[in-house]
Amino acid sequence: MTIASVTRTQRRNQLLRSATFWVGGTITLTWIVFAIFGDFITQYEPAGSPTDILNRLAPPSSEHLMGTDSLGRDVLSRLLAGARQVLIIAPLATLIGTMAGTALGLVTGYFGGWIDEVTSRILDAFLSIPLIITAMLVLAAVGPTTVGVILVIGLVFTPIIARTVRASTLSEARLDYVTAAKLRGEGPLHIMFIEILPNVMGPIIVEFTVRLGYAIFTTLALSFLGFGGDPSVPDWGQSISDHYVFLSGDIWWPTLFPALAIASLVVGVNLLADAIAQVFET
Amino acid sequence: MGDTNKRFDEIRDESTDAEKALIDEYMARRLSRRDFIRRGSMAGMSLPALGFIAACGDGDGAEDATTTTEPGDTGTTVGEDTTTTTEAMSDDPITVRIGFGAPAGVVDPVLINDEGRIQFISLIADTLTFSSATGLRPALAESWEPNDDGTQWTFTLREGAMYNDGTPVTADDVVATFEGIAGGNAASALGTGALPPGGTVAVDERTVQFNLDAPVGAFPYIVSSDNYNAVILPRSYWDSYAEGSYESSFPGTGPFMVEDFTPGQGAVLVRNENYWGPTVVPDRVEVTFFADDSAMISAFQEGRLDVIPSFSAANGQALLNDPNVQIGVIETSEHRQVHMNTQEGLFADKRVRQALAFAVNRQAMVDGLLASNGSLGNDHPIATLHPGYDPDAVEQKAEDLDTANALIDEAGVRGAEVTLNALAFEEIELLAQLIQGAAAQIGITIDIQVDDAGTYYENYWLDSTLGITNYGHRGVANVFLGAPLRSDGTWNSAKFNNPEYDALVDAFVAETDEAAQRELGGQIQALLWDEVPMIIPYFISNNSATRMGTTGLETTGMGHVVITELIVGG
Amino acid sequence: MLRFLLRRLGLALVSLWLLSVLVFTGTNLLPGNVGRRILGPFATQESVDLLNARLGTDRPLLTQYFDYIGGVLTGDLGTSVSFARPVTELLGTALANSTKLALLAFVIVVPLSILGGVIAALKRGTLVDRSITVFGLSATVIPEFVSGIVVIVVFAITLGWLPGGAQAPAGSGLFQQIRYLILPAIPLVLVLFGYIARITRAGMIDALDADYTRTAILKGLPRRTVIRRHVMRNALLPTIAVVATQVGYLFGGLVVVEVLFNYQGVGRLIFDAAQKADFPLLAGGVLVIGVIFQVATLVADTMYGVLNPRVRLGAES
Repeated sequence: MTIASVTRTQRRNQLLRSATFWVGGTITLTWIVFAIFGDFITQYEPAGSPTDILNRLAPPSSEHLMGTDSLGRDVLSRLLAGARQVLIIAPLATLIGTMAGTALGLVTGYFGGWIDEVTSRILDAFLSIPLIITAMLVLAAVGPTTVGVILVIGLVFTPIIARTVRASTLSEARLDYVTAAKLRGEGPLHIMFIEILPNVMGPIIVEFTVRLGYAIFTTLALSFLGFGGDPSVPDWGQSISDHYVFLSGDIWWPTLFPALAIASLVVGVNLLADAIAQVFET
Repeated sequence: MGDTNKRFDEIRDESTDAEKALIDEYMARRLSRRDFIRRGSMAGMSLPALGFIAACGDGDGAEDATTTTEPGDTGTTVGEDTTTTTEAMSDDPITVRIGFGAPAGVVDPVLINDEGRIQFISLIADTLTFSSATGLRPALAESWEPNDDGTQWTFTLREGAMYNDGTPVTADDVVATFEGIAGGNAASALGTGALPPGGTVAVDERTVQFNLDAPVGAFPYIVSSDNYNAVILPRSYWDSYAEGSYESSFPGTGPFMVEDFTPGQGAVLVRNENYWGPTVVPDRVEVTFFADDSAMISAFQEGRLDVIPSFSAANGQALLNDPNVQIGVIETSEHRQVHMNTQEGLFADKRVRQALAFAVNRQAMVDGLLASNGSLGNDHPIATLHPGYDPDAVEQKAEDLDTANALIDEAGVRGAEVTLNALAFEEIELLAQLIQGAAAQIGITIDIQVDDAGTYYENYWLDSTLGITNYGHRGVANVFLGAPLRSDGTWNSAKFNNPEYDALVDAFVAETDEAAQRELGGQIQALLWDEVPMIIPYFISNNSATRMGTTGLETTGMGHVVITELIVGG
Repeated sequence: MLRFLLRRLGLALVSLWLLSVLVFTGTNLLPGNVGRRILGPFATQESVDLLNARLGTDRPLLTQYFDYIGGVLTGDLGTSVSFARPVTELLGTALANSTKLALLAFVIVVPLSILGGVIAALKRGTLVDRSITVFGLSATVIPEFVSGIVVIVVFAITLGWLPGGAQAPAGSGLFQQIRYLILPAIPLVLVLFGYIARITRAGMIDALDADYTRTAILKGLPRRTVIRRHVMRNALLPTIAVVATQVGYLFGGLVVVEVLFNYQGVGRLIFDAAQKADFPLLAGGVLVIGVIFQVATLVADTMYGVLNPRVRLGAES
């Protein structure tokens, strides 16, 4: 136990010294704050009101700092509400994928044999299709809804995470403490989740943070493509797909601001993930 | 050949000096065909004349014609310098690059129901009559007349009309066409025309008779371009018909024929030399399909397109604001129907339907969403341009939240939740959100579900509590009043069932006297205004975009595009 | 080596078969009436039933699957519901278009990112290294529709240098086609750059630190020769594998890019098929992408095997 806690302290110190960690962390945290306290920052309802339409596509002004969109709604307030949307969907989807993937990886890695063989083949088949296409396939089938998007991203992440966890479990399963537990007569569930799981947490945390970035990427790409569900729910990807038609008319605000928001959030999360991965890999 | 010479001389003689000079320049091949037409139209020459002379200069006709011009006039030095100049100019086809909506499915006249495919087919094939923005005009049929009570209509086909492969159009083809489309999409539209199976009869080679179940005063509209499925195709096509077989040869009598077609991407069309009409200016038409307005608008602005025949004002800000773009606006009866299920659920109570109708701010929609390119709707599908519209029947509905809220409380449904199904098309998704906002003001929560047209029509169109459907332009209101609203109507999303209404519509459709029809129209307007099976918030104008100085583009609110006389400017 | 390859080939085939099962069940479990789709909302129920019977969509699922898989094996992927054309024909044209775009992206990104990775590794720890790494890291995660819109605004709308649509007019020459494909290729290049540069850099650093490099330097070989002969050869091995596996990603990215640039490629076709619930086309498109991915992976493994004696001789472990 002492060895483990020393490495933990070391890791923390290393993390705190990393510039990428601080930059990525600050950006991410800022968006989280915006998402939570967005309502206090702007005076407008993200949903707008029916007469807003008369003031559609108004350029940024002191009244609307980021202008208005194609229904006359305040771009800034929709941007902040959109942060909430993506910061709920993406972590939830990643969490589902990580939990399912971890369970699957532990089982296949621990038991090995035909269970492993069969599962690996099915996962391989899954992985030979780009995420976004699998997601589109499923959403076309079940219909585009927010819950659908969360589940589908969780689903496509499962094999990826399972693969990582399986590899780590394979090497752990050969170690003495596992043999000892078996001799003690512990059941497979106990061995997998109580004994092995804590020792493979490192790769799981790394996978989680890396996948989080991709979950944001995928959620937004899906809503950009029109698979995001209710169009009135503020969403960055949807905002862009709704408004890039106006770009050639020099109406850049309803597109550019969400684009910048997306770029900053994904870069922030990714820098954070990179810093964490570096710490665990060394 | 003698006729050609005579006509050429006539045109030339009637021309002004400047025009004569142009003609002679062209005949001497010092002007390209494109420049001749452009400059000739600017000089005020009539298009038929321009087209005729342009054709003379094109091929053998030129030889015949030029010999008749008198020596001594300018530009008769044909023999001397043709060798050098023809090389430079004769291979200069006039090409029009046009952007259409992406076809929602296979290009097959029986199956089409979307703007993209209507646009495309309108260049290749013709209906018997053409429903233009200004009224009905002959197309493949030259003339028509009803019997005394309007139950039998006789159409005479244009003499010498041919398909693009050179075979003549016969009355039997018309019979085959109307038999052939009875199974596909057009079935219901034909039903509204009271045309029974076997009701179409060929009297002789050029005469065809429609025997109807009931009198229809506006029957020529039922076989017009408004009924876009009813393009006339040869019997041989129908005999070997299969879904999509149209794409193997694209038969038709239209001004252009397909040279190359790539599904989902575009097509290259060339002039149909067998076209029955007088003039076709463009030699080639390059069609590009666009799945959304964005790509189409930027293609136009970058100069990759000459013509956008139709775009939505809600998305077309870039074009509307651009001083270098010529916008054509025509008033149409295209509209959206926000249907409410009158039999089950929240809207079975008439007061709730009325409340939602009073919560909608129509003026804001027209001014904002449509950029004023449209007019207010009053919850009935009879547009101001329709015969039978009564301007004094009912007052214009406007936002009235007090009345709306009172009605909601009376019905006791405050706090109700309902799903609004909409299809992805032009501004409908935005309209859905405006309806959602309107409902929120009277304590009704709406969830929006948007699907592509196929999914919407298959799953929700006829099976939803609340939905939005688009209806393209019709020159008369018959179709609008029939299938979507009659108790036996096949498109009746609102499940509207009102015997009094049915009787009124029957009388309206049969009526041939204008004043009497207006009287009936007024009663229909009042009934729908009160019952509100559907909210019709606005009628939409069709917007087209061309380069400055472009002339000769004709569009309809249904999506038809006429470019036979199109001259691209700029 | 041969055994290794045969095993890989076998696994790939198993994966593809599983994929066909997944895709088929996925697309057939759903409600949806093929005949209604084709004939449209206004057709009579009679004609819809008739068409369904003719297409055989009213038969038991298992029968339909065997029919389908039999068709797939003989190169028949069925008929698209929305285009009423053979799926193979539609995919053929689209695949040709996508390949052009993907190829251009690869031609740009591979040398650029390998160069970036090599420079970063050689200048390890310097500002140049950090810049390349952070740029790559950031570019990789910015969605294609964000970078795509930026390039459209800058190069097509504002500067007017390049067309903002990907489809060159009919009959355009090679040069013209490339001109139209440059902007759509940029978002793909940006996303791929980070990956490849990163793997190259890691491989280079491993190789630079390896014993054989030290030995070579101790033997007195010039640094340039050491890098070329020993470092690069070993460092580029993992890179090749990464480049090949990115083919799979690339086809995912194509969806967004092809939609944004109105380009009729496989991604766009799959997108349209998903939107219109055109399941034969969707299934065909997904299968084709699966095949491409498996082939690319197989090629990567083979190249890796040929270039790396350890894999060639030993069993994979």
